[in-house]
Amino acid sequence: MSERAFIRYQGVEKAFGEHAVLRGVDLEVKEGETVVVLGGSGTGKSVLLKHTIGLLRPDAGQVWVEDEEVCSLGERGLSEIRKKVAMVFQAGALFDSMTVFENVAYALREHTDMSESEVGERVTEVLAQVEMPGVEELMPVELSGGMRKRVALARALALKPRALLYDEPTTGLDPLTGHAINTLIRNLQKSLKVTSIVVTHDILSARMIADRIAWLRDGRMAFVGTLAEAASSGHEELRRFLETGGGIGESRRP
Amino acid sequence: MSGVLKQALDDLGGLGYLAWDTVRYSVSRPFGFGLLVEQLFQIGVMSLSITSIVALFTGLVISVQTIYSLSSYGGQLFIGDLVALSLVRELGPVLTSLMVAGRVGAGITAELGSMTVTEQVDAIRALGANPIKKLVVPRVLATVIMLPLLVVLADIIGIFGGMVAVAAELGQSPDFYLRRVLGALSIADVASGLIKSAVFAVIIALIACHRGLTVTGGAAGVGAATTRTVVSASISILISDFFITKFLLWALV
Repeated sequence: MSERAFIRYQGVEKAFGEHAVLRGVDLEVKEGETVVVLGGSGTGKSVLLKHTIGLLRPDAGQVWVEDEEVCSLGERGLSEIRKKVAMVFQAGALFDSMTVFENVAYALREHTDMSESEVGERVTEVLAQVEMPGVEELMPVELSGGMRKRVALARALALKPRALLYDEPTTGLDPLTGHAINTLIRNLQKSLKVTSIVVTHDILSARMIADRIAWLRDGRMAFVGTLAEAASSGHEELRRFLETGGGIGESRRP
Repeated sequence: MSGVLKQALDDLGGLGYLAWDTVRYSVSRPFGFGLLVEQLFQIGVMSLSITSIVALFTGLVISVQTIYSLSSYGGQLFIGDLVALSLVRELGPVLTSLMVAGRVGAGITAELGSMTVTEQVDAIRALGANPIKKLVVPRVLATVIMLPLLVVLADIIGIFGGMVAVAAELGQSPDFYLRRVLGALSIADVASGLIKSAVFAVIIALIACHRGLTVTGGAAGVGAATTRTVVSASISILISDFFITKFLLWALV
């Protein structure tokens, strides 16, 4: 892990109408590191993630990927960022009018000059990486929730991104499937050395994959550090959040 | 009241932006030919049966009504003229467009709306592609290409329906009826119907795409947006029809 920040949020603010979601988020994610962003439902974790690749634009503040400021980029620049930083959406967001193969091949066909056979090889390769061989011809509706997340991960991996953003990778899965996804994420971290930001309220997930955790509370990062630091920190609410497995943040919301 | 006005202005602004982006991306490379062909099929070919049925019965009913109203003046000879002019200038384009607003407009909003709420539209962007180019451009182009063709077909079927009615009710020969039809129609009449339907196509497709891409609120939101698409597209067609008609009468005649 290098000390250089790969992704950096600086005073990011975002409101939807009257409702201020992010009120000045600061966070640095170093190259090769995995940061798990924790927080209750509706605290703006996914919103923060979407700012990273310009799917949302902040009302104030800046988002940096390496040495580029994302909000200042035009369409072409954003496209370059999105090749470097891939996102895995909450429910997979697979294109349901396309087969698994076409889903995974989408970015390859969009951004590379690969021949169809090269595309086919790469699709087979990433599907094997997420332990889903031989599903190329299935439609997304034929897949279970866990399989969908794996295929979504394969689609994100296709272009060999340097960073991955996971939006609630284990939400809606049974504990065993969730555990399998966490294991997969950890193995990919080790083998591919990608920088990762994982948004979740699943404490087990955080324990398995986090180098550091960031705790989003009231639109700001209330705590950033390792799990051990979090356990010994003075943040009473964060400690309870970690102990109970994530219910507290939700029930304490007004 | 000010809320309604603000909403209406927001919608108009959003439509304007979308229209501009659609023009921009429809001329930029690479041209998504495969996506266009798929939409030509979905929007055009799949609308054939519904527009044909509507056109056939419209032709039949105008014919029957005209026979009824003109007979007392001894005007039966002119039924072909009247059926042809009202169909080609007005009813063909407007009724076909209303049917397409219902079938295609609702379909586009429902599809793009579900893609929006399931983050598939965000996924397109996250994969470095452009949703306007991938989703909106093929749908708008396909509607603009197919709706005028559907209207031509509707005109022909409607005139045929009129012929059947006249033959059955009055025993007028198809030969005579068709000569009246062809004598009555000018190039300007046909052109005006086609220009109208092309404008209606833009209205339907843009409203439908805009509503689909701006859906919020899950499945219920998709349902509400779909209803609003059909309502606002239909009203826009009828209102703009008046102004386009006035303009074309001034420009073409």
